[in-house]
Amino acid sequence: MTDPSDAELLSRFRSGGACALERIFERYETPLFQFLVGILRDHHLAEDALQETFVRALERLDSVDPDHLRGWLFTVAYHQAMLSRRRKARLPSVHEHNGRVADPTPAPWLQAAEQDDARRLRELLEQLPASQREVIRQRIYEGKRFREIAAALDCPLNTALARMHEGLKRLRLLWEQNHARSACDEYPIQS
Amino acid sequence: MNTPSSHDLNVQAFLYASGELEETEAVCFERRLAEEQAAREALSQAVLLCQPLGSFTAAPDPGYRECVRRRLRPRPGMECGSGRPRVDRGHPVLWCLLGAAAVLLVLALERTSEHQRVQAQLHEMAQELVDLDIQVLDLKAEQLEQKLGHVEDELLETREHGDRRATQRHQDSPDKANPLKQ
Repeated sequence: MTDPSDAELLSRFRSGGACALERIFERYETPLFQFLVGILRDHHLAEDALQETFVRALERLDSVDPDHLRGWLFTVAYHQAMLSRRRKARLPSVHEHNGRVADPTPAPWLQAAEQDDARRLRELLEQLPASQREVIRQRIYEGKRFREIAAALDCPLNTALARMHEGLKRLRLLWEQNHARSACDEYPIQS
Repeated sequence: MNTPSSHDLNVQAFLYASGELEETEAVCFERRLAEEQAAREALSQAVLLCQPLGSFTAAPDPGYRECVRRRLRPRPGMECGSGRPRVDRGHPVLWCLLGAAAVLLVLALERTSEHQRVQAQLHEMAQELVDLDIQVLDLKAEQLEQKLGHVEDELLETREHGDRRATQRHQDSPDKANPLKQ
């Protein structure tokens, strides 16, 4: 069975179908959330903006072309992100307001988990081609900017970015495969 | 395959997501984000690639969905979240169908009244023709009666004339009148 089109989903949503809203969430929450994180650089602000985006976008569907739902959601998300950023600039931060700074050190259990992840990541990194591995290593472990990496490797900025792009894609794939295998080892399927 | 412009867009998005664009470049890119869907998609992809592996920042806490559902849930007589009283005007398709039906009904009525009007005209014309026929027949009957009257008059006159001559001939020559006496 094929996925329903945006127009079909909207039609169902307008006629009160609860499943349609769920499908809209599934289809759009990840790209919208990533987009919001990209602008706001804050996970919690992005979550708030995402909620506002869905509410406002779905409240004002009367003039929206059902075939352009994706564009409409992104447009609302952009405006919500700008609004959120302006609010953040106006209001003092919670830390300043309370007169104390949050402890940046993560909890011990989180530290252990992070160390385990870091070890796995280093192992997977070794499986990448050298050119891609080098860009990622300098970016993640040395914290260099892309322009600095390009200068260090004596290659154009675009090349450095393309290697990073390809390398991360491959690394993500390896990570997910590795993660799935670990989960199977920990929780074997009972026959 | 990426076109040069889409490649530039991806590079810009990548640098923006990693916070490496100069301030003026970042402002320019944000202007593109306001207008271009391609730029928004590129940023979304770039964020996915830039975030740390194994982190859960790629997806929001699913709890937000319930908040959205609650805020969108229609209250009795109210439109979702807008706070304005909602007037249920029905589905547009229903209105279209009703409109089409009304037009057809008007056309049908118009055609029916037209039909009736034509029928009435025809009936009137037929009536006129019948009246005309009756008049013609009356006229013909009258003419015939007149002719018949003339013919009867002439016949009567001829008979009287014949009788008169026979009487006169009888008076003038009684022998001729009775040849058997000789």
